[in-house]
Amino acid sequence: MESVLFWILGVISIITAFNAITGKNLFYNLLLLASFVLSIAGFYLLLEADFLALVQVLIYVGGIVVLLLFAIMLVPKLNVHFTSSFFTWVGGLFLSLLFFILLNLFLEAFPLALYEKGHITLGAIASLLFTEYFLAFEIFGVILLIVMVGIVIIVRGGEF
Amino acid sequence: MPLIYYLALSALLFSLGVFGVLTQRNAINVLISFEIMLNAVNLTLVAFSQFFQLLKGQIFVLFTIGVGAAEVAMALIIIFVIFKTFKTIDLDEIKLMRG
Repeated sequence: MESVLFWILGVISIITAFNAITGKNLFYNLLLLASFVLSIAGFYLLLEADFLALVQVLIYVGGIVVLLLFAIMLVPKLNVHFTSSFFTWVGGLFLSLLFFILLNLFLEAFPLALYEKGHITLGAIASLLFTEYFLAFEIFGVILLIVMVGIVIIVRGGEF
Repeated sequence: MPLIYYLALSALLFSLGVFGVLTQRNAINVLISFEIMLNAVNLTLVAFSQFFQLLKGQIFVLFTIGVGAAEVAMALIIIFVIFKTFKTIDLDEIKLMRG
């Protein structure tokens, strides 16, 4: 059962990712990105990381993809397609294939088949997040505030 | 499923993202490719965290998702400013700093 789900989700994620990158209409690309992100959330459920699956759906589908969709719909001039040259396609394909082969060489170098999957609960994440990683959590809030203020400043035309 | 399948799948998805960044000319398309790369790395972290029984991986993924959201908002604003300045978001046409 688990392996069947893995292959279904894997095929969905690869196809949607490829079409989201190479598609010509940006609107459809973003909808494909949303389905790609949902398939990644499915992988998290498969790995029994249920809280992360929830966060993934909330922030990616509900936040990032909707933000990009609104940007596209408010400024329709952004939705244009530029055809890359043949040299760019061949170079990009060659370099990314080289990268993929390199990553797989790394994978073969380590004995990864020994490990068995376990279960991690939400309470354990929370207790670690609010004790050992509490400083990082606070700094992360400051980062979000800085981004918000920066965006407001840039949108208003740089008047500090 | 063994761990190696998850890692191979994330490697493939990350390479797809690299391919998109190298070949696409629309800035928002490049942003989409960045998101795909980010998600592939997150999948790797969660897989390692579950198989090695280490919680740190999942907490790290929480932070990367949050910082990724901030990054997308910032990148979108930068793309808007570029569009206002250059009247295009074709990355091959934006050559302010050519040598």
